[in-house]
Amino acid sequence: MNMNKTFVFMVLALFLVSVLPLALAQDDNTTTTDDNETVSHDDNETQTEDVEQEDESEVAIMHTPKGAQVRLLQLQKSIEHNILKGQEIVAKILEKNESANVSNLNAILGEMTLLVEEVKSLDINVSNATSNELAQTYVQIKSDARSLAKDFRDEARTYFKDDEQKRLREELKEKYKEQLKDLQEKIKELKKNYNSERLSLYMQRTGIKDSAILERLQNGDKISDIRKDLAESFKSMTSEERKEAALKVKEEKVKMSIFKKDSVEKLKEKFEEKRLEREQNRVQKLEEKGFKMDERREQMQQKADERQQKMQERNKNQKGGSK
Amino acid sequence: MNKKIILLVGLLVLLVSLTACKSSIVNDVVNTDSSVDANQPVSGDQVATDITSDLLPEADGVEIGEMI
Repeated sequence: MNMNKTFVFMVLALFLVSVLPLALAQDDNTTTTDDNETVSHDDNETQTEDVEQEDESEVAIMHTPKGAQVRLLQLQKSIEHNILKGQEIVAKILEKNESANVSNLNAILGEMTLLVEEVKSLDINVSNATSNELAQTYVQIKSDARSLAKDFRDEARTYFKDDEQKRLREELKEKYKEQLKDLQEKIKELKKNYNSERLSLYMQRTGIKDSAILERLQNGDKISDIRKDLAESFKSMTSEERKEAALKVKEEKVKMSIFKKDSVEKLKEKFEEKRLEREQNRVQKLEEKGFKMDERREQMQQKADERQQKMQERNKNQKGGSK
Repeated sequence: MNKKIILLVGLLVLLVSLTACKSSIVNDVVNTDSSVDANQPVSGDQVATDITSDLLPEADGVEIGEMI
């Protein structure tokens, strides 16, 4: 009897000590970001692979018109750069084989051109309420551009050997710098404006009155040097003032995080649906312009089916795992 | 004899569990936002780093992938 009691007691004790660490442990499905904000990656949530982590970080600055301007122009430049590269690649393919069928590659370049037009048409001076939508459109266009680049790359690579691909990649890297120079200069200027605006806001909030720091940033001083200048200014503050300043900075960062999360999470909900709609619109527009889109349409359908299958498998695995 | 074995296994599990507990608590503390702790002094360096991390460096750009 006594033996049985000890056994039951030990089993209960074992159960208790086994469960305790689980109860105390932090959920492994959470990560801590730079802003010390804990973001949950719920396994049951259907994650959209096409919204990458970098996209989420990039949209953070779009909560101000100047930040949105920077991102949209950077995106425009990247797509235009890829169009120029793509045109050159198509020309090289035709050089190798005059009768090569490049209609699908041209269709992809046509789609990229439509994306550039879409970026150009976006209104940056929108209210706060719709700057979320602007950020969402940015992520969608970027995701489309990334997907188009991949489709183009996969097909174009079949015409070149590995070493030829590498050579061509290197050759095209620097080739269009001159053509994109104006856009690059504009981006540089906008970045400077954005940085000045942000620094000015932080200086006001934290009580730094040394306007020379802002001037130095505007004159092109490195951010690492600005950081040192700011650190010096904070040194002259009292401990309480520094704490107050740190809180103000934190407040601003939380605002940015909320904006980022709001924009991307809402988009993830209907991402696939919106993507299909956008693809169909582009195909229709290009057909009206006389592009041959049959092959492209088939390719899109095939990819959509693959994505659907992947999503179903993932959901199935998640359900299996959560049982 | 049985009693001793059960006791030994129990102690072993207790030891393992306590070690796991300790690491999870340490992780919690490390992951806790300590940047603005009322009891901790805030360094000027930290605030300056937080501010400048919001600024766009020269190399900042948007990548959409290679075409070949």
